[in-house]
Amino acid sequence: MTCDAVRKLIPLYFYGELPAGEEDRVEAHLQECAACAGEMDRMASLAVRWAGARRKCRRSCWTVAGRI
Amino acid sequence: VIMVQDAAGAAGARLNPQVDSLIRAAQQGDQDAFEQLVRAYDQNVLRLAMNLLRSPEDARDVYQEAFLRVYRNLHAFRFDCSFSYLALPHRDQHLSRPVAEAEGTERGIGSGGDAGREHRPHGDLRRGCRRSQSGAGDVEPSTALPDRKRPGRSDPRERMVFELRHYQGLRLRNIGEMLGTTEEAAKNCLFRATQKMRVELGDFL
Repeated sequence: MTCDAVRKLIPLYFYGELPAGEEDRVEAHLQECAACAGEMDRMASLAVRWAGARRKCRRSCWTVAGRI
Repeated sequence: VIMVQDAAGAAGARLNPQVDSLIRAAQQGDQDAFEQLVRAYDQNVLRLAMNLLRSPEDARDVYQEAFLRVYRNLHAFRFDCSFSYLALPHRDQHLSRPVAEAEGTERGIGSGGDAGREHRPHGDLRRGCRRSQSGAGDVEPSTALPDRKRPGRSDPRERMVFELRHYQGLRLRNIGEMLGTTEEAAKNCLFRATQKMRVELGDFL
């Protein structure tokens, strides 16, 4: 697999949404390609940050809930 | 307190028995049971609406419509899908919209397949997304680019797919079914949403 192809699949790989065969190919590529492995790490890091952003958003939602 | 876990479960996961019994009671006219259901789900619905619309006013409208829809459709719930499914905007809700409006800027989500023939179940959400995020209810000029054509802006459906997958834990196959589209289109939405989220949240994070 090319790096371009793998990077398009990284979000789906992260969420476990790839078919088994495709997942294996992505995994094999990630073990050999440091750049794509870094991209995968970045995806995981962003997911953690999104969770943090969600907590901040939730606070504003509580404010809205109080008005309803 | 009822723990709402159905949306976060794996594909086909069922509700907990406590929720099932509340639904059955509410179906038989038990108002207290219905109120308990509302209390169990209201924050999830409100949060989802806020994430999609980014406008408290529109989120409140969607929130109220969602539970009104649940109330109206509760009698038809057959326990073969998530209870949350009742609260989500369905395709049928928008069938009365003019076809031209529904298809106006729609080009399909995926690069191929049947995405171009999709309904737009959340077309009305676009109204909220066009609101200025800085102004109090200001609406951007009608000449503004559609969400899909703005670089770095996710459209309501992409946000919905991201929300349901990332925060609610639903599988893309189920999300596709909920939104009346294909799993492939849902995958495309998720990919675009994750790319755009990097841009959109860049300053916030």
